[in-house]
Amino acid sequence: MSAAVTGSGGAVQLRGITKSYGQVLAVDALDLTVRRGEFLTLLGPSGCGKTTTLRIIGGFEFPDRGSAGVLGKDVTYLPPFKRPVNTVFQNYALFPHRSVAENIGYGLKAMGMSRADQASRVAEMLRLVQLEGTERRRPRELSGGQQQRVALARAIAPKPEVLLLDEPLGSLDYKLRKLMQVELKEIHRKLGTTFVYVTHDQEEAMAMSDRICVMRAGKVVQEGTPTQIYDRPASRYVADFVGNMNFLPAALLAMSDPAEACVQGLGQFTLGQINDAQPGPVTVGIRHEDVQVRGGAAADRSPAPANSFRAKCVAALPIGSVTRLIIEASNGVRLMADVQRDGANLYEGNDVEVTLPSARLCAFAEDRS
Amino acid sequence: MTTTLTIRKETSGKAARPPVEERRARRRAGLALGVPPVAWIAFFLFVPYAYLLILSLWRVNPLSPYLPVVHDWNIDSYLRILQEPAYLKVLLRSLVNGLCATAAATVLGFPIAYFLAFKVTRRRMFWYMLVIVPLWVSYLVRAYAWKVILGDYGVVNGALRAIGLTDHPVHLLYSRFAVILTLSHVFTPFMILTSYAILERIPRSLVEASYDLGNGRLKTFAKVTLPLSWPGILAGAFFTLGLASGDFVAPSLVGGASDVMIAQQIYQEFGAVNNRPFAAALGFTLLCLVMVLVFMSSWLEKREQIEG
Repeated sequence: MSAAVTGSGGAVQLRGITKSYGQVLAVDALDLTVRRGEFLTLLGPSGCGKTTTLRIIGGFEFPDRGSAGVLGKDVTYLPPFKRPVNTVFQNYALFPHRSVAENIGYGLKAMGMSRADQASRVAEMLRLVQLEGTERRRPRELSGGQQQRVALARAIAPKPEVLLLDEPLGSLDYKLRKLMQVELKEIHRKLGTTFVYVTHDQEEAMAMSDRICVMRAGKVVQEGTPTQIYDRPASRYVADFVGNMNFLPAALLAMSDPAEACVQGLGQFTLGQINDAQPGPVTVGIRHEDVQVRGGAAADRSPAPANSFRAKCVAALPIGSVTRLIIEASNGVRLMADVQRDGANLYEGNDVEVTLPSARLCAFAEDRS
Repeated sequence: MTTTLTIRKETSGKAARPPVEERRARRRAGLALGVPPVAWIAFFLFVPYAYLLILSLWRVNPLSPYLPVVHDWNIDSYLRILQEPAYLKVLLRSLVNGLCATAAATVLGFPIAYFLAFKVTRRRMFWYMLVIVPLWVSYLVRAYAWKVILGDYGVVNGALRAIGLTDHPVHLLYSRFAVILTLSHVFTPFMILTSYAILERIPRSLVEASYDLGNGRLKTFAKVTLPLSWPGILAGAFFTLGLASGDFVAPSLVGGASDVMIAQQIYQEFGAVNNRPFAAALGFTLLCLVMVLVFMSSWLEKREQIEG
């Protein structure tokens, strides 16, 4: 009983997709529209249903209920070889018995393209992924990063309407991953193809996506641009998954404008955002980099700003581009602050004044699951 | 040249190398581990084969009634094999029987292995055991079973008579057909096991990638699954060919007088005729023929891999 997929609203339309494996519900009544030419990322921890969703779009799994459409055409029960969709697989899935050129040409040959056209398209793809000169090599003779590029070239060679990418950078090392993120984004811009990308790496999602869908237990819990997701996380789950945030138990005071909360052990604070939290017990959160810190001596000379308290800096950790301060208030409440490196080590072991800017402080309803 | 040398110097620099004492200890440990299997193989494989070769280059003294072997180096036994068509015929028949059994085992066994590896998702162990269990039954018993099935008053003829297709027995037993049938039956499990082992290791994502790129089930099988399972099929074929060509039991039990295979011939020469050097020469010839086939096919496969 698949609901008819109508209109041409998007490159991919999922309506009420439900899929379970035995007792485990992998995807739960999921609705999703991917716009044409968009780079959309399904983000979530393993087991959240993101890969299953991708496999349903690719045709490797059929949903128990719901419908899937590509460019307005119902493809719910079409096999993969009849869909205008190609996939970059997690472990690349390159054919080990075929050369790089044969791998890339595999889909073109299946389309019935002439030999000459195949050859020129393969050459074009190799140029695109900067692998000229490796045509005759076997996949196992290439490095992980090169194999990744071949897998990408193979999937985009037939010019699919939609490209599905299943954690394609997962097995590359950190440096290479960063590089490939930039290249993938570049290729997306050049081709204009719709990309649906699956990852559990929030940095990757932030760096490349036009839009991110954060998933949990088979559902999309929040969708938006990377900035929206980062700046306005709608739940503690999303806030915790994307970026680094301090969470403090608090009580939200009865509706006042602006909203105020009493944070356990720290006092009363003004909040910038309360999401769907109700008065009563809540969690308030603030990102590490939004916490403002200044030295106790400097603070003594001027009046204390709003939303601030005195604490001790227990440690200053040089984690790279910023220094992470571990701050402990007199009653043992701890939080972390990422501050500019200059002079940050002077805080270590000293009294500091900590400000939680109200615009950056938000409350989340207590997690119900 | 110079660059490679420098690189090698750097990578195997002194720091990376363990001290002499430790290296010696490691080498000793390696030797201690390596010696028993090598000794085992040398003693039970190479020594007998070497003796077989040496024996085949001696001859018996036909003048003495006990036909003692005299250590008189010659290649008369091999010349005799080449010159007397009867022996070449037996050798050829053995090889052809072996090849037929191999072909039948492949045609029967590979689909079963494919089914086991790709289609069976539940209770795979049960199906796997169905393949293994027959191997626990003595080969002799399995070969003997065909006597019961194929005999003039056996299961097949009984069935044919019962449905009125014939009223006098069709002679199935004691024929070349019966020999090849029995050999195929006995060696099919080897083909199933080697094929299954390789099919199971083919990542499913390769099949999915082929579907994804637009090839249907048949083309995917022909372009991905089959080429990747060649090593398993070849391994099974080598087993079957080697074992079936040199088989003694099947032709003895279900073969006719004109279906003699090389193992029976060797048995004859060794036991009845008591010409041990000649028996050894026959055995060594069979070994060489099978080895040639094995090397030829693995060479072909390698060439295919490089060019294809």
